[in-house]
Amino acid sequence: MKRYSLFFQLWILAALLSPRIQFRDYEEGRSRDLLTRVEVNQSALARIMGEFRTGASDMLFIKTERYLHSGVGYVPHLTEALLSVEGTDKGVEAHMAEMREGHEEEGHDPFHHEEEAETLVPTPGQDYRRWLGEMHRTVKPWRDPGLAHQHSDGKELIPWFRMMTLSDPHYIRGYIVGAHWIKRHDPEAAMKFVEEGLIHNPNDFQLHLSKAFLMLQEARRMGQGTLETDDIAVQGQIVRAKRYFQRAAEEMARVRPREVPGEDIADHPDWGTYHESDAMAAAHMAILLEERYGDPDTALELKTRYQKLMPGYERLQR
Amino acid sequence: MNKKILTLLILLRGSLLELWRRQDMWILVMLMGLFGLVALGARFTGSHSPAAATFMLDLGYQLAGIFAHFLTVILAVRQIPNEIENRTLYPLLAKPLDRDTLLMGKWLACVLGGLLVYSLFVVIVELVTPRMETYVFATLLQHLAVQPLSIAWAAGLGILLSLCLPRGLALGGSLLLVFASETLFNWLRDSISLVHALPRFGALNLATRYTDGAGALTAAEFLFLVVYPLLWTLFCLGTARELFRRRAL
Amino acid sequence: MGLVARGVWLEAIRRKEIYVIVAVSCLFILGLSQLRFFGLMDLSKFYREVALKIMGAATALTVIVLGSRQLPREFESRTIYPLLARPIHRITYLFGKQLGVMAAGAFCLMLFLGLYVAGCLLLGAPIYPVLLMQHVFLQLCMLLILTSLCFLLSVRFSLDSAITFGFLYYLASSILSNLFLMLHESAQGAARVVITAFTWLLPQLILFDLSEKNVHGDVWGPLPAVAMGQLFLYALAFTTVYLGITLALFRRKPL
Repeated sequence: MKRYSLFFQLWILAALLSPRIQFRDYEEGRSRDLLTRVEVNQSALARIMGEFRTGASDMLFIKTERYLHSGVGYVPHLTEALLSVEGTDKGVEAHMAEMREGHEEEGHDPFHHEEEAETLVPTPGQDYRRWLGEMHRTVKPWRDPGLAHQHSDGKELIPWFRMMTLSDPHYIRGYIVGAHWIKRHDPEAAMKFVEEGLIHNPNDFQLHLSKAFLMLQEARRMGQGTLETDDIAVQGQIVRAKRYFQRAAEEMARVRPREVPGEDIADHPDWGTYHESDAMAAAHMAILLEERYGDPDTALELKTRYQKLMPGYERLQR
Repeated sequence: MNKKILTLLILLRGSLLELWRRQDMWILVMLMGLFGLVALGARFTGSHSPAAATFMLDLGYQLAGIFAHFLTVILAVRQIPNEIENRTLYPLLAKPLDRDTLLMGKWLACVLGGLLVYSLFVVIVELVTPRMETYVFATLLQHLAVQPLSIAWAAGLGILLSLCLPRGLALGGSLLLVFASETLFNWLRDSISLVHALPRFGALNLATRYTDGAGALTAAEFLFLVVYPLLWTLFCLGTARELFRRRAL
Repeated sequence: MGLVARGVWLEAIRRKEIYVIVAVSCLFILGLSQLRFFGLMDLSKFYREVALKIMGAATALTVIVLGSRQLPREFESRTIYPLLARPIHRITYLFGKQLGVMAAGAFCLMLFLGLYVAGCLLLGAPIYPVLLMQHVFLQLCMLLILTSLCFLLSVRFSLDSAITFGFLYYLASSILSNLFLMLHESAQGAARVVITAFTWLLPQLILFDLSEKNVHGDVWGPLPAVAMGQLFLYALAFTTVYLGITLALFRRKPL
């Protein structure tokens, strides 16, 4: 019995050591970089592996494509515009608007870039398997890639976002996209989801930006569609949103690579177009809200600061 | 040579011969060959962008770890029950061989078998996957240093469970703990602190950290990562030893 | 044949592993049906997708474990001698074994199906009865192939290897299908012929999985009866070939 108690003590020691071995909990990394994942998910290897890609970011690509297209497997091809926080928001809204109104014309829905997208199961003309291919197309959800895509509600994606962020709490994209889908049904739950992301990633500027946008939208909802109201509750909400935009801009300034004259910052290996798009949104909104709802002198200070930081951002230079 | 070490070596040789004869090892080798084929196929079909190459590298290291742990567990759970079932344990124990040496010999054989397969798979991965991005070599070294400890722990766990559960259950339970406990830990860690008592094999897997280009662990962090599986291995082997000693044969 | 099948059924009831597979899967499915995400109602695709996948994998595992065990255990425990001493033809014996394993697999599948439907009702999730029945039928066709494949593997390899190989084939089948598709695109000449031959010679288990259409059943209708019939014949063809080879090897095996 004495010996068993010794082994039990070893177990306790191991359990006590467990919180100190979270070495897979690092921020950033290629496996979480969106542009890299777009590239990976379009690669032959990813198509061969199919649903056996189990990383949180790969799950996002697989499930988003499938669920938004009623199960049809297309080769993933998200554009950079859809990867930013604002792009995600607009993409989700427009996708839902199209579903409601039944629009099919090109250009209305940002997800329309998919027209003529390649399906994972080839078309009859490209399939060497003949009868087997025919059966494959019959058994699996399949639609001729030449036809307009059949879009469906992304609400059912929400559980997958929950699982993604539980599996990898540093997968920022899971929180951002998830929050934009949740907010359509429960804005408070969406806010809590982003806050959970901030607990795990307190310095991530895109999460702060996402939270700020959610707060601003809530202020607009409280003001019945406008921010221009004397309602104290609305004004308070705007001030809180302003703080988060400013925090997002501060965090952005900390991580944004230094601009090299003559080179596009979006070509930097650690900084894509969607990062830059969010960086601009954070700086712009931080200044704008300070100007309108805060102190104009502070707004000017902020403007000077971000003008120096982002000399290529024309809107700030005006 | 010390008689005990000699007996241990004989035991090791016997178990490794068994591993060589076992068809499941060759099935796993075939599967790793399949990975090689897939990887070469993907390269052949023009998929050698840096991101895809890194993905392939990560997948290769993950599969090498999965297959090596899988084989180690399969080996470990059948060592002692098979000897008992085939009645080959009695002549072994009739020789001047105590139960502790037998247990250690069996465990070492499983560890060596797992390591052998792991090394082979790592070589395959290195041969078929191109390196097209920058990686921190020290992180790879740390990963390769920790994986053997993880295999040793998996062998200990397999032996321990095989002494207290029927073979099928021991196999299922060990595989579940080795492959699924980290996921369960991640899901529950914010809500139930008791999950820290779970065996976290996944925490010892630094493959994605390496392919992500993340930096190496500090000396203190690495020390924690080494001590953790050692504590678990000692727990598994110690408890298995007590169970085996008390077992009526 | 009935006698042999009954023996398999009794063995299935006695095996603790089968109970564990079924119990763990049932717990998973029940647990899944209890999950709520952000307090949102009518989210059911996640439940349907994961539950159908668990159902498929657990039934396949049960059939693989049982199917691989049948012949080696009979030889090991020497129970095959009194059986074959009776006027039973080896082919009848094999058919009996297949029937027994299939019955156990079908029982598991029906049990899971009951739980799945209960979970759907609990969540208020839509059920597409025709699509669901077609999925169950196709899963049974797949189990037919897997059982005969495991018989064949168990005559040629050791018990553990047959189980390992059977389950790995089940898991890797879709990867192989995708691999052939990708390789064929860039291959030329003889390589294309080899890839085409492999595509036709290996059973394409993905053709027996209708779970995706069940998940997105709001958009997709049931399969035409002709397609169902063709898939059944496809499964039957592989089963016949595998059983034929097993029989040939079984005949040569010294008793």
